[in-house]
Amino acid sequence: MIFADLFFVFVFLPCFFAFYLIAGLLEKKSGTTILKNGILLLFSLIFYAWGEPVYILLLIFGVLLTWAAGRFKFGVAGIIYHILVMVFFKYGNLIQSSLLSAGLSFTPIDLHLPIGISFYSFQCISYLADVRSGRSEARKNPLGVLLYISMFPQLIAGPIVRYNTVAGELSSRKVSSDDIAEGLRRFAFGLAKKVLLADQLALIVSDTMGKGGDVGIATAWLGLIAFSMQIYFDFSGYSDMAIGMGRMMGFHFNENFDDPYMCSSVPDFWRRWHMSLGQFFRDYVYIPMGGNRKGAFRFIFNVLIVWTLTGAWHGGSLNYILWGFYFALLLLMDRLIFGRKDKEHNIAVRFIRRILSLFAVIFGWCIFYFEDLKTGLVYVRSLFMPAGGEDVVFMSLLKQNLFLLIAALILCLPLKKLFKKRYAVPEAVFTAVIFVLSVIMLIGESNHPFLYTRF
Amino acid sequence: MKHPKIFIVIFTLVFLSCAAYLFALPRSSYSDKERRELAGFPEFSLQALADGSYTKGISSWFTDTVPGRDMLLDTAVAVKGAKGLPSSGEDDIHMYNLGGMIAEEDDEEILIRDTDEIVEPEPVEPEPTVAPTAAPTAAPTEKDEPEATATPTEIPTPTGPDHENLTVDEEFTPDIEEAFTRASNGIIITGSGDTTRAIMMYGGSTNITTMYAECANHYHEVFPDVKIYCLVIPTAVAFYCPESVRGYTGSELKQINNVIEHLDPEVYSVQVYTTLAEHSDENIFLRTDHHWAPLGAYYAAQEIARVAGVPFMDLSEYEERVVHRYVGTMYMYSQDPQVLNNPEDFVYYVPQGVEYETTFINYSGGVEMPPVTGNYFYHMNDGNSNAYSTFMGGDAKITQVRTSTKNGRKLIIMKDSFGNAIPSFLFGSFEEIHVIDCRYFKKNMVQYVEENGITDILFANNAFHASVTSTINAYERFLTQNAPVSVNNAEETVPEAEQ
Repeated sequence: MIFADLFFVFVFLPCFFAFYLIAGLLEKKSGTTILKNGILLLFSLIFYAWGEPVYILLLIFGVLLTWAAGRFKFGVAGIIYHILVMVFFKYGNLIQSSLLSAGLSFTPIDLHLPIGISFYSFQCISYLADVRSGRSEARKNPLGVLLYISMFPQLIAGPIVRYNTVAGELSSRKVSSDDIAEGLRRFAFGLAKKVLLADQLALIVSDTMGKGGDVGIATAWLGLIAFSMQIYFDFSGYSDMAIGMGRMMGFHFNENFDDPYMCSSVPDFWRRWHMSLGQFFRDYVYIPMGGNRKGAFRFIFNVLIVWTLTGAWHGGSLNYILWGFYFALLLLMDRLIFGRKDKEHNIAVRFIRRILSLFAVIFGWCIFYFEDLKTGLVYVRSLFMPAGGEDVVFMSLLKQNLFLLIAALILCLPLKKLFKKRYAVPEAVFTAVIFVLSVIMLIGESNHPFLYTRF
Repeated sequence: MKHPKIFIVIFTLVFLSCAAYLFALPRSSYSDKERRELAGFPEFSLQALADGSYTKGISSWFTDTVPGRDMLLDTAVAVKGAKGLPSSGEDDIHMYNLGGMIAEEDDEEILIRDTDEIVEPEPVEPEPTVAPTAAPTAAPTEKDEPEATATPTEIPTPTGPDHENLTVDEEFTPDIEEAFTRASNGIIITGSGDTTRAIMMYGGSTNITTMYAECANHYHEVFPDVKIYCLVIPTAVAFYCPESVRGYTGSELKQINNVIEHLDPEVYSVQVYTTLAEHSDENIFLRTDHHWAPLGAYYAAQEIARVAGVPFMDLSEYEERVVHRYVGTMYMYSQDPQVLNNPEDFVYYVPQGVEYETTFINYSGGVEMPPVTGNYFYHMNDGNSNAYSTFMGGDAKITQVRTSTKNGRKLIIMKDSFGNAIPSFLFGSFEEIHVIDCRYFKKNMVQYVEENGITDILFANNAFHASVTSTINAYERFLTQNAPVSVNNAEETVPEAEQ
């Protein structure tokens, strides 16, 4: 099931909250969470099985193994299991086709990637690593681990909720009316980001980058900028919905985005984009490997490893690894040119660094988008080589999407700092309006799955 | 947030109103806008559950059958329209799914073969009693012509015992125009207000149109005594594509010329490109639909009659009928609000002063039904987006029209939906007209031609259909499918499908 779907919004979610509310009322006096957790677990499993009726067994097995590995102290083996499973499903097809083209003969199995495997495997790993290092205690009850991993708001496309973040709230949590209001608002905003912005920007992308051939230079940039915004609104919209639903149940998941296109540098981008993934690699790979404390050579090596892995996490195609590697090089160049401390520079240098970084990030999406490198190269040529003649496609797309593009650009700005004083009525009316618009837009659209549910 | 409870109450009320709308009102089952049956509730099976199609089916059913779907769809299109500037004129072009540039030069003029002039047959003199020019003011002679009273959202179904099977084809679904997706290079919307025109860009290739010509040649080999005509109908893009986006469409003229070039000299080439170009300031193409307008078909029919050497009824001998507020398929294809907001008149012409009787052999789920007599024209109410199905009610059938024109000429029209608009302009030209769709015909063509004493076969496909192999494969298949077991034994010549 995906969030941007009428069935989810109007059948699954109300059913869940009805039961959850009843459980909450029954547990009001005792203050326990057993019944609420039971309802949440049951609905989470239904949610996953709705889209993956078979691979739910893989999820349950992986979680039971994680529980056992934590409880009986074979954490390393558990971590290796999750890495192997991820490599098998993400890279299985690529490996098979390489073996076939290398001359080996066997009947290849067509592997389809279980939904959310990258996210829940990482959560299992984070649980095991935290337990192993003593940062968390192993849970005695396997159902507790299953609930932490399978909780439907964050199950299939993050944020990668760390066990530490929610360990306490799994056993005891309170929901205030502020939590519910904020949760509803986040949910509706997330849905609107997905349906009103990302899915509409996707149409520009399919008319530009999606064509894969030569396009005019202005069209090429329009398409790339549209994709940069599409992937942001798509993914952050999903995270908003997840965080909002968690909030309505009393969970406080970590934020996943912080106005990424306002980054002042490339490292800053990664502190603002898919933050839960960046933090995961920082805490479980980069720092254990010594980070920047073991000399320049080791630092370069660590950066290359971490960012190549970050790229590889996205999927079984070379372009993702290349994309990760590209960021490793950018980060190293950034360090080389600008050093460690941003504040030491004068305003002109800071401005140049900001512009260059944004440019580099946006260009990076071109590598990310094209799974076929050859097609990608043709597009890169379109970005820099002016073609002759009038670019009619650009003018047409620009006019046709002018207000959408302006709105999307504005929404990339750090707006939440502008609205410090908040009033219930105007905010409720605005939220309700964008919610109704989103619902209308969901009708008649073939489902556009969230981009990040692919990974 | 101050007063979060107020927020919760307001939002919950709106949410519950939406939910009440979705659950309390009856669900939709047919989309008039998209011309398709909406998804049904999936059937349960363990297999479907295991492969995920059951649960997916439930989600699709829920979304697809939303109450008042068509109305909400229009609202969604209006919301989408708000994302940019409205069109401001001729040079303001909206594009949808436009493909890459197509590097080719437009041919400047239609190819005329030397043989075209030579092989033109002698006109056949019609018998005086059935002269098509007789009684031009006579009332319609078709019996019991029903006026459909359906509202625009309903499919008109003529009532009465003889008309049980006469519904507009349920199979008239978007995929029926598959050729328009496969040979298409995207859609553009040009103009503004009542000059708005949605155009399908053309992406056909020379290889396939060559095969199309060869297919017509093959029919000539199989039926040496039957006159074979080949007409490739240009579409709106040939005449109305703005200069600025010409590079994004293939040249239909080039492909039409290619067909002509590859035709056997003894196959008659019917060339309507120049004729249509001359009349392009008239309403010969629909602005909101991918089809031509009946008037375009009239000019083409005139050319067919000239090449075939048969009489031709002037437009003044027809009664003009109009379906107002027509918005055709291009709205569905493009979902551009400008198309929806600028409907057009669908004008068609009912022949007067010639008698004709129509028999249909319907196909339902690919199975042939017994012949039934019925009405050639299905009159639609204003606003009906199915207006182009006025002719014969659509495509999925064989139509046989027997006219009062007694000249011994019996014509088969092999066509796609463009061809539907042609036959009624030839009722005064042929004694019998058999209309066969390239997608629905289960009989054996050789046997069909023999049994019905066919004298003329016209291939009439639009440039898109002449550019996809499925059309050509189907025509070739017609020659061999359901062949009689033995040609020497007359009793065994009943095709399988009829047994």
